[in-house]
Amino acid sequence: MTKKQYLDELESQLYFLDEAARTDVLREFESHMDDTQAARPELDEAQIVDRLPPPASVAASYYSEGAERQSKEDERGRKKGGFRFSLGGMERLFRFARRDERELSGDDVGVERVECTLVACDVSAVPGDGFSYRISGRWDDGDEPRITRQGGVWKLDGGNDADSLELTLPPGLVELIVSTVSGDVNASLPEGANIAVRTASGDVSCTVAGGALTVGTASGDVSVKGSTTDAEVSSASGDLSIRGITGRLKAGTQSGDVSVYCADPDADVDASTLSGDVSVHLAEGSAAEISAESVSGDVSAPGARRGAGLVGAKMLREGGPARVSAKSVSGDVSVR
Amino acid sequence: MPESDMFSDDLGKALEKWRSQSRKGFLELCLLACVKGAGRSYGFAMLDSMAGAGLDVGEGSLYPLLARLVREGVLDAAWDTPPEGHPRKYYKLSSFGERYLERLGQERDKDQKAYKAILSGACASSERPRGGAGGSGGAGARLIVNYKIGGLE
Repeated sequence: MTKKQYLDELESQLYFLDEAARTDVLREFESHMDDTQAARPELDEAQIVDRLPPPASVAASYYSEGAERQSKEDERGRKKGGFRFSLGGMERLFRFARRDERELSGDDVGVERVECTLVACDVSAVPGDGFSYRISGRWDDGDEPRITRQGGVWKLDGGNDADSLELTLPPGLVELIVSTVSGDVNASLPEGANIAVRTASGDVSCTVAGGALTVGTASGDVSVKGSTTDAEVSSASGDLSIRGITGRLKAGTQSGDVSVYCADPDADVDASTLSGDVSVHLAEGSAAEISAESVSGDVSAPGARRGAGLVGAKMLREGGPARVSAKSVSGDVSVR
Repeated sequence: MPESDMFSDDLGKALEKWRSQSRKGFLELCLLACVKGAGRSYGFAMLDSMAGAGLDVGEGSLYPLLARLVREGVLDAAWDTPPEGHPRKYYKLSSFGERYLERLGQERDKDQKAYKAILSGACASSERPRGGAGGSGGAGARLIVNYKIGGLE
C-alpha cells in the first residue's frame, strides 16, 4: 500500500469525524510517516506504511476515544453560536425540553434508488406497494432534514436532529444506501434490491431477498438474513452473523466473532477475524473446498485433514467448485 | 502440541487480556509524563522515547489518545510548519494538565505502595474469625496495621 492509499483509506474510515478533525488526523499521520522516513531512510514507502496499524483499527480507536460524540457537540455548539464548551447530557436535556417532536412524511412514485445520510437517526425499512417515508426528530426551523429528488434517485440528508426514519420500499427498487454515525439500521428489502450500509456504532440488521449487500461498521454488530447473491460485510469490533447465503460472501472483522449459515451447497464463503471466533455451517450436501486456520486458536472441520502450516493449526478439504475459507489469528475456527 | 507449549500459549493469552485491561490508564500517565519530560513533543518522538524506555505503544493507540487529551484540555496542541522539512503537531501540558499529571502520579504511587504492602505480607493473615463471641478481631486489625506500615515504607 502506498502512503496515499493508506491516507485515502483512513480518510474514508474516519467518516464520523467532522472535516476539520479528519484533515487534522490525516495531516498528523502524514507527518508521522515523514518522521519515520527521516529516522529510517533505508525503508521504502511500502515498508513505512506496513509499520502502521490498519486504517480501520486506527479509526475504531478514534471512535472509541469519543471523537465522534465530541465533534457532534462542537458542531452543535458552533451552529447555535453558543458555548463551544460542552455541557454534555445537560445541554441535550435542555434541547429536548425546548423543542417539540416534529415529523416530515410523504410518498413518491418512480423511486429506484434511496440514499440516506444520517447522524444519530435509527432507520427502519420494509417492502410495500410503493415508496413512502416518515422522518421524525426535534429540529429548529432551517435545520430540518433535506429531501431531494433527481430522476429515480430519492435523497435524504437527515441533519443532526432527526431521531427516526421509517421507509416503505417499492417493488423494483434497485438500491438502498444508508450511512449513519450512531443510528441503528433495520431493513427488509424488496425482491432483488441491493443494499449498502455504513455506520460507526450503529447495529445493522438486514433481510435481503436476492440482492447484493455491502455493510461496514466500526463497532456495530451486523446481522443478515434471507438470501444474498453477493455480500461483503466488514467491521472493526462488531460481531457478524450471516444466515442464508446463496452466493459469494466475504465477512471480516477484527475483534468480533463471525457466524455464517449457508443456505446453498454452492455458497462461496470467506470469513475472517483477528481475535474473534469463526464458525461456518455448510448447507447440507455441500462439497465445498475447505480451508480453516487459526494461529493460536482451535480449528475443527469434520471430514477435513490436518494441513501443514508454519504456525498454528490448519485443516483442509478438497472439493469444489464452492469454496469456504475461515481464518482467525487468536480465536477458534469451526467449519461444519 | 507439547504440554509446556500449551501452557505458555494460555499464559500468553491471559497476559494479553490482563495487559489490555490494565494498560489504558497507565499509558495515559506515561504519555503525559513523557510530554512533561520533553517540555513539548510530537507523536513520533513520543513513541520513540517510550519504546526506548521499554514501553511499546502503537500509533493506533497514541494518536487517538492524544486527540482525546487535547479535547479534555489536558494537552495543548499546535502545528509547527518550518520553512524546511515537514510540519509537525507539537503537544505540551496545559496548566490543568500539569495538575492532573501530578494527581495521577500520586494515585499511581498509592497503588504501588498498596501492592508492595500486599507482597510484604498484608494479606498473609487476612482470614477473619468466623463470628462467635470473644473474637479478638486480631486478624482484621493486623491487616489494617500491616497495610499502614507497608504504606509508610
